[in-house]
Amino acid sequence: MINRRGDGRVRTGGTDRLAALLVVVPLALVPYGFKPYAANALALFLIYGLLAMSLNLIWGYAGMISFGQTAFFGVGAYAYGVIALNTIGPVGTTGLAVVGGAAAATALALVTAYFVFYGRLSDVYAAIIMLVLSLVLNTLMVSTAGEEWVIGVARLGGFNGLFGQGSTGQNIGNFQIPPITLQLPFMAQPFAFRIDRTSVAGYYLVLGACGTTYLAARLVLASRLGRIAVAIRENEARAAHLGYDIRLCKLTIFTLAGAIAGLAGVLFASWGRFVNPDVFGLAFASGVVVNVLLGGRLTLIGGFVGALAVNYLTSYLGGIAPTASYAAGGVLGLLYDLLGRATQQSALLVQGAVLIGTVLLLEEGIVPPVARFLSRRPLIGWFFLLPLLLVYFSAQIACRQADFCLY
Amino acid sequence: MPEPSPRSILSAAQLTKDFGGLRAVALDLEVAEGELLCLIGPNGAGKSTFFGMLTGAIRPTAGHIRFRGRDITGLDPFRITRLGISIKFQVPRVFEQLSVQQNLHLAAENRFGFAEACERAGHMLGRIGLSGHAADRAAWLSHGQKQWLDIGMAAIAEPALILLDEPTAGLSPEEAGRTAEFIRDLNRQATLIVVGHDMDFVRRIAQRVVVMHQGRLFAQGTIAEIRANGSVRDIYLGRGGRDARGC
Repeated sequence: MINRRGDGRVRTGGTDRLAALLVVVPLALVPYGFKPYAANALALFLIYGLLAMSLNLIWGYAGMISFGQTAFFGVGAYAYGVIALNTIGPVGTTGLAVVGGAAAATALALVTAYFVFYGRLSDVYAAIIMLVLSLVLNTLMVSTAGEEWVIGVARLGGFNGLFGQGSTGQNIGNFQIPPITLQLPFMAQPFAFRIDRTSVAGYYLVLGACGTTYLAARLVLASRLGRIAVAIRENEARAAHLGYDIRLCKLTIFTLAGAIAGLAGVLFASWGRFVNPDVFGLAFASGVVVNVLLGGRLTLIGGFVGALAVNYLTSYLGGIAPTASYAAGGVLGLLYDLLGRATQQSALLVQGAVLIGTVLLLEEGIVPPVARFLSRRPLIGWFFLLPLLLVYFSAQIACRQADFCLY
Repeated sequence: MPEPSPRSILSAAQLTKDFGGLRAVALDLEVAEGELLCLIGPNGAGKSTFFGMLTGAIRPTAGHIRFRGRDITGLDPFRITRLGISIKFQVPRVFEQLSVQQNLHLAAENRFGFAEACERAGHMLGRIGLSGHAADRAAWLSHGQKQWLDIGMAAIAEPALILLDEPTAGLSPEEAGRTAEFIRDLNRQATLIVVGHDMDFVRRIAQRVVVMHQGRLFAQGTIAEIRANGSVRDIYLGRGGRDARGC
């Protein structure tokens, strides 16, 4: 994943295993070492990461920037919501909705890609068209507040978001989008998407979906299609004159990315049990591009890293308690309090400054320099970073699970 | 449209390209199987536009292109390439962030599949003298090396017709000499059309020279005939004497 030489071909090796451990171990242990709140927030960040990875795939590897990956994310979320609201009563599970949500996004991506690539639009226009698509969907969904906008029991709800209305099964009156509920033949009881004190199954579903999709995307990139995609990024005209069907290749990669964005949308709707037109908005759309830029455009994992970093920063800055130390009194306490208030009030400004600084200092994003460091000094990774992580997480788990707290 | 002769690999019949009111190309040309044809002419004569139409990058305004008897006018570039026409552009177009080996492999994979493309890439590395740079990024190569890599990429899929647009642009005389040898070597398997400005180089490789001027076929013949042609000197070499190129 990380030991790349900028050539689009992924090499496996010692550094890969180290990086995988450094990423997977903490992610897998979070629900045991922290409150469900942390796992819940992290699940959302991972969903945003999955969305960002879909942009990594087309922008980093095939050279096509899209400002509208959120269109497919939103359509996936809405389609999941509409189908799940209608099927949860009679069927009791939402498997059909999961498939339907991803399929709707894939279909939209396929149609969009067809018109963009077979209409011979240049890259800049293609990027703008995607954004326009997202904004058109935003306008459309905002205007669906009326009672006539109903599909079965699903009211589109305009700006207030999608909800169920009526009486199906146990649901009476208004009800939310149901979480992912699956019943496979080998299961004793249905799987239910939850991230709370009783179950963190939802977190592991998100983590598993992200991991599986990431590995699948790596397989695609290691295939012939992936090599052609990189050739297109490097020089589209040359690739065409080597006999490669550029439009078909772009269409395929773009549709795959749309499917991934759609899957992220499905998980999002299930996670929050809510979706509204904001998912098609400009702020959300540009956030995806920022995540990818920050994490590293030319790496598949960059989107995840960027999404985690940006969202953690946002929630951290927003969460600095302005009055926490005021009680301590004195000048220092007052200063700290003022600082806290200023930071909280201007969280977005601070966040913006950090982003601009990072992009200026790390042109390639966060991942490539870290990857180079790890591949140059693997011993630091194996014998310092990894043990440090293990000790930290062991301490956290001991404290949470057995009330044995070191700090 | 006149029927092409049996030995003809490529024929352009009343091939025309207008850019607005400007007629960039209006050409009739036959190329025989196995020929090594040099296309010369002053800047703006329409040589690159002609190549663009042959490879499908530019759609002709009128006229037809036949390749091995098949009408290929207006086909997509990738289809024309798959039929057996490949091109090296004037400015080297290589995949800069990929290794030299990967560049050649990509050029071969479409025709031969992954495994055989590896072998052929290794073989071509030797032919273009870049064996020692197999793992280097193409961006790190010198200009001359990039030119050779680009020619290697055009030739590796064993196309029937190879178009080379100024393969010696920016090369030193020694490098141009090696390029001429390589091109003559390629001519054993493929028909070539080479655009050149360097008359020394043209003299070394050409069997037939076609002079283009203002989009039209102005004169053709052996290099000696072209050199003896006074009006060619007027339009191309400069009226009445040796020009800066020493011709």
